Amino acid sequence: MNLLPTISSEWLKFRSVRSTLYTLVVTVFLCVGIGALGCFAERQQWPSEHLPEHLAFDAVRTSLFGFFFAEIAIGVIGVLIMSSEYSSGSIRMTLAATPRRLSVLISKAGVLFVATLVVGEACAFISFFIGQAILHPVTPSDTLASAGALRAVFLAGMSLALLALLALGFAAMLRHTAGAITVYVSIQLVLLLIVSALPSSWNVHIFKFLPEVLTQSMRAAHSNGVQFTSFSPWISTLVLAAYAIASLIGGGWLLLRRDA
Amino acid sequence: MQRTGRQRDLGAESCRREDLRDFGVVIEARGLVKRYGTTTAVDDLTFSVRAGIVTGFLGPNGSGKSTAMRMMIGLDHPDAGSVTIDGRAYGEITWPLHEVGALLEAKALHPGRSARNHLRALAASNRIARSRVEEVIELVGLASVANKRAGGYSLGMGQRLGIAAALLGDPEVLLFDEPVNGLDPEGIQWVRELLRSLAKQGRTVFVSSHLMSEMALTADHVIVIGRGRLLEDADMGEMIARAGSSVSVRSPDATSLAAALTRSGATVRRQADGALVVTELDAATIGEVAAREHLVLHELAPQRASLEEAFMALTKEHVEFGHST
Ligand SMILES: Nc1ncnc2c1ncn2[C@@H]1O[C@H](COP(=O)(O)OP(=O)(O)O)[C@@H](O)[C@H]1O
Ligand SMILES: [Mg+2]
Repeated sequence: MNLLPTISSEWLKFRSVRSTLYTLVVTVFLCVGIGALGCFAERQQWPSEHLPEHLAFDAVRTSLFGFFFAEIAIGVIGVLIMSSEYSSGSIRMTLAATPRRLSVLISKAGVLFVATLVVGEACAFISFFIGQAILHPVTPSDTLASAGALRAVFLAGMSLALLALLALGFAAMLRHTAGAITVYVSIQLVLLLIVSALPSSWNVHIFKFLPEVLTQSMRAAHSNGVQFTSFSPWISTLVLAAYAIASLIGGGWLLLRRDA
Repeated sequence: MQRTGRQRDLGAESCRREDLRDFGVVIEARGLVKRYGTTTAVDDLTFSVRAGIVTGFLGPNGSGKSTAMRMMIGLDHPDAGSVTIDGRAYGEITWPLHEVGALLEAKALHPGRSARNHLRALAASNRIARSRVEEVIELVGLASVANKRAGGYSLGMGQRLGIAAALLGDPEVLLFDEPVNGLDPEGIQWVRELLRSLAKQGRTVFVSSHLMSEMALTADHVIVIGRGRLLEDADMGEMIARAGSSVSVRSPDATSLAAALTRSGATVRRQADGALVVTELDAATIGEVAAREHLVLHELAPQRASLEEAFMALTKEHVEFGHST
């Protein structure tokens, strides 16, 4: 099975839609900008905060505050590269040209993963450096050599790429833009609210499985300040990757079974 | 793929249609069935399509043409039966655009992508050279808008782009679903000539339409379906001959007359102006039936039926005049 032609076709499709490119650029600005604002806010508060807050402080995670918003934008891109094929009807031409349907999904996933990983890492490293520069005069700050810093910055970028795949799988299953985005956003945000409302004796066991908690753990340099009991950063990465793969398997299975 | 039509095309210019029939069967549908919930869109359809001629696929709207064509290229899974192209299921072809080109219903385009990029992506997926993209853009006359976003294309431009995509891999088999939809008269003429020339080159051309008049101008052979079922599978000439004649009858008591004629084995259709179009009984017999029933006739005129009427008679299920009226 030669995937290269399918991959090059999907790559061409990915980069030939201007709105996708704009969204990616906006994601970087949004992520860096909001991260910088978060760092300014932290700098203002720092003198009035006390020891517990200071112990929990994670300069890396603070500078990556913007990821909370980037996650939504990246999810929309993951959804659109699949759902727009259904809304426009071009899926039929795509599958007529490449009847091995899994090749199409795998190629889309590959292109999306690489593109969003590059964008994610750009978000992460730029946010990190700008954030540390803002924090440095007032609060403790980190360099990439600080304990856990490089890992947290790298995994932050990776979290966006994995979330994009998760969203792609949703779109392959649901085939409708609005539906897939709703499910994605619900899982990112609404689930967090619902689980928070559960009795705390339960929710401590559930929280760590939520995508939003997984990504928070991934972008933390140390666990002191993480809001919820969570998996370690690497385990969190594996769990999130498992979600993404499960979502793609579900999407692939339905893609094979259903009429186009 | 061994069957290369253009090698056998050497003498095609001088060939008459009869000679071209020897090109052989390329597409074979056997017992195709497709159901959507309670509707049976395609109902036990068996037919074959030969190379070197234009085969028309004719049926009223909703008769299952598009569904059948989607099954031919592996987009919809049949509930029963199978279709093969050159002996294989479409899904088994490694780089299908080189062998089969399909125009599906119009506007299957991402609105944010230009025609050129759309075609380039398709070309890349099947290892087709970029230069070929420029060739087909020229061929269908989209050169001036090829870099514009497809969202702004008219139906006709979308149709031309779809035809460009079908021709991209220079395939031997071409499937066109209602290709003249949305085209202006000039475009329609262009499509007719394109279809004819593709067939003349020895290719297999399968084209759907809901208009008999369109088919009469382009097709050498027609497959007629109604409600998903095969109604007719005949050469165009045969179809014209079989269309035969009808008799136009007017009577102040048309309803009783229609019922009487139907009982006598005729097929009766009432036209908007009140005239009855009677087939399967000749004028003399109609007159006798009317006399026997004491019904007044105002007109009894034998007509040569047009193809369109033959088609209507074929596809209109048992006419409006049942035994009850
Ligand atoms: N995806 C679908 N879901 C449900 N019904 C469908 C679908 N596609 C076609 N149909 C139904 O199948 C029948 C045949 O449709 P179609 O193949 O589009 O006919 P045609 O192309 O001859 O106009 C119609 O009754 C149509 O409503
Ligand atoms: Mg149709």
